[in-house]
Amino acid sequence: MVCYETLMLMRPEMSGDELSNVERHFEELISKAGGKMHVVDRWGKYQLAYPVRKNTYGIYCLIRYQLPKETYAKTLKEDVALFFKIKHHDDVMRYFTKRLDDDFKQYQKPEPLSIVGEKSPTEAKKIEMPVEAEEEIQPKTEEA
Amino acid sequence: MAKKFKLKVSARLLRKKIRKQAAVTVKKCRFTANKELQDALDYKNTNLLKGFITERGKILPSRVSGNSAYWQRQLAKQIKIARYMALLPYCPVHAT
Repeated sequence: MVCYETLMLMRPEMSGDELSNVERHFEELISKAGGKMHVVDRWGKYQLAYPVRKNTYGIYCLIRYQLPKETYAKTLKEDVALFFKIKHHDDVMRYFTKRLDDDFKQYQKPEPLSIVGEKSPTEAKKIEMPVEAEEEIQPKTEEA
Repeated sequence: MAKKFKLKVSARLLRKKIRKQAAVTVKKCRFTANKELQDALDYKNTNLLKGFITERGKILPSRVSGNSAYWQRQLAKQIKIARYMALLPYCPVHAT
């Protein structure tokens, strides 16, 4: 199994339902390809360093997953690319996929993002999203 | 035969030279012997990466930051990824 991590930057106007939809679709895609999800961490709404698609804010979401060795290349090139470029092109503004080493550490959310542009580092301006009743996906630890 | 004139270096200039030599400290690469820092070097850790960019968002050269060539390349790669994901700026003022 090969482990990957994808960081997505989504539109700031998206509701919790729409975000859950995107995450659920991605999970379905991965499980269809024979993979397994490890971590789904929604960082929340943050101010961006520069406007992306005329939006000064964006919602970050990080997903860690693993794919089988035989089909990971095909899954990434075709299915995942189609997912972001066509299916959710309007929702996901930017995405970055990184392969994790075999001895990668357990996921830890990075320190609070500081506001870019200010001289003194301050805590990130996390804009709280309306809380909706939904099931939280617990971070899964990888079994050895 | 023309006389050769030897220019005297003034004492003031000599003192300045010695002061400069004393002030220069050999910079060490922060990553080379520090495994924790090597693991923390990631495009998501903007707090770490911010220490290696100028106020205008430019990447500091290794002669200023003291990084070895290998770690300077790794650092630059992570900064560029962070810039793409809008975690760090490309330039100081972005037109809206």
